[in-house]
Parts: sequence; structure tokens; C-alpha cells
Amino acid sequence: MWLGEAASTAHVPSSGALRLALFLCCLGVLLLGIIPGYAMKLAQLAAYIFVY
Amino acid sequence: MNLALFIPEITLLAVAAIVILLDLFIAQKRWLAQVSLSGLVVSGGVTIAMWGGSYPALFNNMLAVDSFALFFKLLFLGIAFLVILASTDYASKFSRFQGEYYALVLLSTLGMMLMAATTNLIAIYIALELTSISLYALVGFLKDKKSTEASLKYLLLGAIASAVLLYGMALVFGFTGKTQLSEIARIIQALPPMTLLASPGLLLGIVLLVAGFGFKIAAVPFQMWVPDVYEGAPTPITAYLSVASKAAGFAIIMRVFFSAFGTPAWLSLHWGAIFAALAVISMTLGNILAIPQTNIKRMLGYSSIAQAGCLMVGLAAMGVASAESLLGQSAVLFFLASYAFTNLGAFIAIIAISNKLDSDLIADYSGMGKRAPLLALALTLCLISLVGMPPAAGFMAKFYIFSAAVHHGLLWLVIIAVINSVSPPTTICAWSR
Repeated sequence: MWLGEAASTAHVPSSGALRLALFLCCLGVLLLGIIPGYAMKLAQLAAYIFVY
Repeated sequence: MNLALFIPEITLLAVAAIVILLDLFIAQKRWLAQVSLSGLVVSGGVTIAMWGGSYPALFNNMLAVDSFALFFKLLFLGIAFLVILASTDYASKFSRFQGEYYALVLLSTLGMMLMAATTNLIAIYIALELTSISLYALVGFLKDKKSTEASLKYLLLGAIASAVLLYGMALVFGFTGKTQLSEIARIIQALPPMTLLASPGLLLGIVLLVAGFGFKIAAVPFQMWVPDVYEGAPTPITAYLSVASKAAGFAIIMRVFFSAFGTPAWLSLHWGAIFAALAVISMTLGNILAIPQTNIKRMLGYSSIAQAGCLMVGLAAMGVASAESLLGQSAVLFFLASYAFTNLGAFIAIIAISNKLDSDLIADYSGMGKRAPLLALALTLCLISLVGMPPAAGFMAKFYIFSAAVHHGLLWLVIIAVINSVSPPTTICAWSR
């Protein structure tokens, strides 16, 4: 398949709630990817119950 | 017993009841979502306030209030918050049943919170059923042909998985005479290895537990429900299933296998090997079958099977690790948190796009970069994270979990996982045509 024009160019609207949810997810993806230290520390604290 | 420690769960139960009652009296149904979100915020606030403390177990030692349970409670509450936020427009498709929709999401979240906290086989089963029954109903909420069929398939296969799990629990109980995880561990540790090896009942019980929980996390060969259920279910529920249900499954696996079967070392090596084998086939099959898909929800369904395989690399590392090492456990927890943001983000972008297009076919997404540039950008970021490329969370999650596996001598498993990581970019290339 070759690159080509899209069948439609009509704008795809989205509601404020949906945009907020998506923004929070993207923020989480970037924060955990760029500064994962705090989340890793939380995960280690949570896993601490597994030490005998 | 201090019931104040049970406030997050009581709050969710109360809000679910309030939402159902409100639905009878109010015309503006959007308030139902706001009440549900408020309940989740209150429950989350109380859970955060409890973080870091040391608390006694509840209900005759059936429910633990430890950092592990609190971590998962926060994760489930956050996921439910994002799913309900993303459902506010979508829920207009079933306007007569919005109260039931939000209440069932809250009840299934409650079930998952209990799953993460239970330390008793009977309580585990009850929490699992509370979660599952709510999810069976939610999958069929669109009431069209696909949604109804998906719900029926999920119900039937889920019932079989529940029966298998219950049989496994019965065998473990039959061998040890206990349902409390710590007591099961104490009895197993006291027995000489030869007694255990001469009793296939316990080993069969453990295998059946793996099969029962394997259904929840959609591991191969217990994944057959995933494509149809993901395609047929309302998209917000597909998102919810793909992250919350999987996280709950991993929470209960970690609790049961480490608390009850963590020692002696030879036993944990055995279940570690089972999870390593399941990881290899889940990653391979999930990634290969994702490539030819034309429906975006089915594609993400197969991708979630592959991601379960990656997570099981962490479980295998847990099995072979010494009792003092926490690397495998913390890597699985970090992976689950990053996977929750990533997959929810991808599905929320899909909800926004499919609301307008009324289609889940990948071909219909062409030109989205011009039609909705921000949505396309967000979806791209989430797909990059699913692939495991920096700077997204997926990269750190895979790096962390593979490091744990290498640290515990599972280099061969990591090599297979890295080879499998070539497949997601191939899939993304196939999408972007």
C-alpha cells in the first residue's frame, strides 16, 4: 500500500473530559519515562512485604 | 478491628449505591459520572493518607492493609477515574442504563481492591467473582450482536476459569488443610521435599491456580477470550479490562505465589519456570497475531497478550530470586503502573476518534494527523510507549523488568523478549500505512 490522501479531512472533535483524561495519561507516560525514580521508589516500598 | 482502615472500600460501595438511587430521580445523567468521580477521589484520598503506616489485618486476618495492597488500590482507583472520565460522552449510547454502568465500574473496582488485599483463598475467590460478574455485565452493555456475544463468551470462559481456579484451591486446601496463605506456607515449609514431590495433588493444585489466574491476565494458552471480548465490549470497558483486570490478576498472583509458595526455594523455582514458559509463548503469539489485525481494538487485544508475557518475565525473575531480592517484584509493579497510563491513553484516543468515525477499522484512521493532530500525537506517544522506546514509560518499564531477569540469571528469557520487541514496531509500521 502506498502513502496517499485521506478519504476525509473533516475535523474530529473531542469533549473536554476526554481531552483531560488523555492529557493525564500522556503526562503519566512522559513522567514515568523521563523521571521514573519516584515511581520506582514507590514500587520498591510496595514490594517490601515480600521480604522474609 | 479498626473499620476505619476499610473506609476506601466502604466509600466505593456507598457511592455505587448512591449512583443507582440517583439514577432513578435525576434527569441530568451527567451528574452520575461526577458523583462517581467524587467517590473515587475520596476513596483515593483516604488511601493516600494511609500510605506509609503500619496497620493490623482486617476480618480475622483475611484482608491485609499493607503497602502492596495500598499501591494497587491507588492504581485501581486511578484507572477507574480515567475510565469514567473517558466514558462521560460514550455513556450517552446507553442513556437508560448510565447509573448501572457507573455503579458496575465502581463495584468491579471494589472487587479488584479486595483482590489486592486478600490473604485467604476463600476471600480471594469471592473478590475475584465480584470483579468478574461486574465485568461480564459491562462487556454486554452495548446490547448489540457483537457486544452480547462478547459478554456471553467472556461469561462462559470465565466460569470455566473460575471452576479451574476453585479446583486448584480445593487441592491446595486438601493438601495443607488451611486457606490462609501464611499458614499454607508454614505447612509446606515444614514438610520434607520428598513428601511434597510424592504428593502430586499439591503440584497439580499450583498448576490449576496458574491456569485460573492466567485467564485473568490473558496469558497464552488462556487468552482465547481476548480478541472477541475486546472488540465487542464498549471501548471504555475494553480499556478498563486491558489494564485494571490484568493488574488485579498480577496482584493476586504475586500475593498467592510469594506468600504461600515462595519457599522452599525448589518450589518457587518450579513455578518460576512455569511463568517463564508462559512468558515466552505469550510474547511470541501475542506479537505475531497482532500484525495482521485490521481492527484496532483486536490489535490492542493481541498487544495486551504480549505485554502480559513481558510482565511474566518479572514473575519468572521472582520465582528464581533469593528471598531478599525485591527487583522482580518492584519491576512488575512499575511495569503495571506505566502500562496502565500507556494503554489507557491509547484507548482514550481511540474512543475520541471512533466516537466521530463510528468505526474501529485501522484503515479508517488514515489522515488523522490532519483531522485531529493532538489526538494523533497522543496516540503516537502511547504506541511508542507500548513498543518500549524512550522517552516513554514503556521503555523504562521494559528496561527495569529485563534488568531484574538478567540479574537473576534469566538471560535466555530476556534475549527472547528482546527478539519479540522487534515485532511491535513492525505492527506499528503496518498500522501507519
